[in-house]
Amino acid sequence: MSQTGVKAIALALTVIVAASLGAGGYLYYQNNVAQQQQRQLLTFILYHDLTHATVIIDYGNGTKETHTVTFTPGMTALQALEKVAVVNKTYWGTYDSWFIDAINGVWNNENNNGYWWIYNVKHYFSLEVEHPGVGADKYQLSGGDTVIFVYQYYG
Amino acid sequence: MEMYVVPKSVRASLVGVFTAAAIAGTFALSPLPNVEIITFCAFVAGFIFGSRVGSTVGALSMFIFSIISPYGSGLGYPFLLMTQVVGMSVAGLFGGSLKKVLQNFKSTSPWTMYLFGVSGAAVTLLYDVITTLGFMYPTIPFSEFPSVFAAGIPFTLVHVVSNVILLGVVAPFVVRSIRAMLGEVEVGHRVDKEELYEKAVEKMEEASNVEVGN
Repeated sequence: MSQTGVKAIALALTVIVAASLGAGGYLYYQNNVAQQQQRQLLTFILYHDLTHATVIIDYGNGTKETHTVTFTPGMTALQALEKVAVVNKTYWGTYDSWFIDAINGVWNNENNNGYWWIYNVKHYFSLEVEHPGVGADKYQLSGGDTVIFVYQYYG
Repeated sequence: MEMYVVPKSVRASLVGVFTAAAIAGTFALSPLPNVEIITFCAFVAGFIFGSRVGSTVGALSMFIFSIISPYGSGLGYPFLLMTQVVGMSVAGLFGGSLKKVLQNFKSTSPWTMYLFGVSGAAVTLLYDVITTLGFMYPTIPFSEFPSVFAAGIPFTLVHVVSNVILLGVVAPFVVRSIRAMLGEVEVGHRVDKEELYEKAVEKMEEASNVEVGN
């Protein structure tokens, strides 16, 4: 084959290789950028979630309030509630614990209606809902927890 | 460039040597991920002995190496093994094709070296693409190819660069040495058979004039 033919083949192969390498590089860049953005987003979400706790107040009549509070280590369920609502409470020496009487003016067994405030905690990682057997002032939350106060009928 | 006829037995033994060298060399290089000399051996064999021999060297070397690979036997991944064998055959075929293209060029001429190097990149890229597909099938859908291939791009780059160096820099000199060993004459232009015949006659005459004995 003549030198011109060889040059043409060399040029064609060079273009093919360069285009393939360019496409590969673009693919690699796109893949890495996408992964990096995903990681940043997940880190942001995780950081945000773990430095906050959610307080839900369910009035039992279809009305629900959802609040986000900044979490601090050692924060109790009652402290989280008091950051977002007006709480009336009574200290019970027998249990060495504060008992919630009313949240935002809604009282336990108001006019003998049989409704009382109880609370549950939904954990961030396990997604399990716990029904704590202690007063809200004794229950320490973890970052990302959701504490749900429910005005519930007990008769 | 014209060649003298090389006996079949010599060719067969050289094919064996190429295959053995490819396997042993790739084993020796196995601590370096994606650096191998099967492409090199198949390509060089193809360039010297033709496409059929080159592709046989590539396929055979890859088949044996893949089965006894220190990274795990290819027998567990039949589709990957198949694409590896096909990929290395292509390297031999490529070398054989260039034999015709570069028949008027010395094996160490700049154009030969350039074409060898760029061919090394092309066959390596093709090999990496088809072996990625072979690795994915049937467990990973082909739609995931971009992300799977992208994840291996640093390894692909190592493979391409090492083969460009091996084929573009080392192979031309290896080809020249083997041709010299086979008694082939390399010139920068086509030599017609009469001229070659005259040269051969001259050499024979010189040989007959050499005195043997004390």
